[in-house]
Amino acid sequence: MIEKDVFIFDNVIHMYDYSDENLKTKESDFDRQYHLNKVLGRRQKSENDIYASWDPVKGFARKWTSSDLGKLLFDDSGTDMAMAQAVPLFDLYKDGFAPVKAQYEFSKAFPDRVLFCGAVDPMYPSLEGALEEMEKQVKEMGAKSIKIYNAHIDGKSWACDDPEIAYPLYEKGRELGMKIFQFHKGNPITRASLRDLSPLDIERAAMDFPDVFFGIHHLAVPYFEETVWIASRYPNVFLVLSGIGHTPMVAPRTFKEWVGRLLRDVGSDRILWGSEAPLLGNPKPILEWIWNMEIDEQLQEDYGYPEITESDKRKILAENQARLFNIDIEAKKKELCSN
Amino acid sequence: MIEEKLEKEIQDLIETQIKPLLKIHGGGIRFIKITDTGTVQLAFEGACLGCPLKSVTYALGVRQRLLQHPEIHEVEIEGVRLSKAALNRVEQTFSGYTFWEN
Repeated sequence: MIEKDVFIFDNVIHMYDYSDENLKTKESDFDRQYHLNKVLGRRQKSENDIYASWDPVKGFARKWTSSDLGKLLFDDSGTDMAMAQAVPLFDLYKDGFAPVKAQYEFSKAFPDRVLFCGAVDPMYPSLEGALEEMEKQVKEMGAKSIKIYNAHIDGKSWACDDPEIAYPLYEKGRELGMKIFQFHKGNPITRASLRDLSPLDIERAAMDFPDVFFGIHHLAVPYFEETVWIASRYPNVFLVLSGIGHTPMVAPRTFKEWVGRLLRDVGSDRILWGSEAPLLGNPKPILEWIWNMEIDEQLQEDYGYPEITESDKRKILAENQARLFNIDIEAKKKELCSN
Repeated sequence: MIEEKLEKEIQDLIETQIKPLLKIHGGGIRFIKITDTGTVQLAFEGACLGCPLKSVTYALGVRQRLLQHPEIHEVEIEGVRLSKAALNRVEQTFSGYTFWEN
């Protein structure tokens, strides 16, 4: 917790495997370096002395262990619960850059604190394979959600509203009683096309599957405007601040504009905190910044954005995620305290 | 008795002057209650629920009309939030004007 009683439930952390051994080809290193250098400057300098060095390869470009990440999150950051999300980037990494098995193991290492989010891709190796894998991840590994990354560098990008490729995934999820899918949108972390990561393909899917929840990550930046309109129109769409949560360190006004706009046009009930830890470092300074943030008077004047309340912040930092995954925060506080 | 009269007046305003406008775009609105302090509480329905411009509809099309009633001091619609600065601006801009027949 931060501020003594503010529960923190992080929607997305990853047990990364950036190791050389996990690279699919030699060329995959190009994408790995691109991603690591893109985020390197956003970490807090002091924490690199603890968790890594400024050298991305020696520091973060490695296979993370449960004890590494557990220390960063639960001992040092104020995070109470988190969802470990696999990322199905099979065009670059043999096991995906956040492997299914590693996320599962992290959830088993901290069963009272971590939920497991699996991942599948209908192109790797096939739709049938993805459906079988989803069944295994939900039934045998206890996946509470499934992560999707539909843009690839090898000509295998697909659309999330494709009735032949995508809809069987949602139908299978329904059949399994697992109805929360999450999508990397915008912000490519590989050489994949930005266009393939437009959130517009979530709209039709959300309309055709009104009982399924669709999470859009990264506010799909640079498709923020589209994201606001989609989330406004479909109550089964939720938005995760992953990847852009550290923006306040560089551009606080930009972050306040995003949040203010969401408060005005979507509401605070469907915004979820997500840190991407450990990639962007210890999330604690950002959590404290968000807890203390205000929507500037000038933004209220110019755009009509409402004030952000303590209730909004509690929803964003934990309550929305808890509601989505049926976690009783007060009961969990007691459980964690007694443990 | 006085409360019933006020509630009926507000519901009539909503039925005859606000709902027809919202209906043009497939939208709607539901009356919830009037509080002791003169705040009308409402909920959008239909297309208004999923409209990213609902805050504009709220400020100009609903709140501004109902505030013209002398016993109504505030109007709230579930899930719609705007800054005080924006609401004050609308009030000042449209002071003395009305889109509706009184």
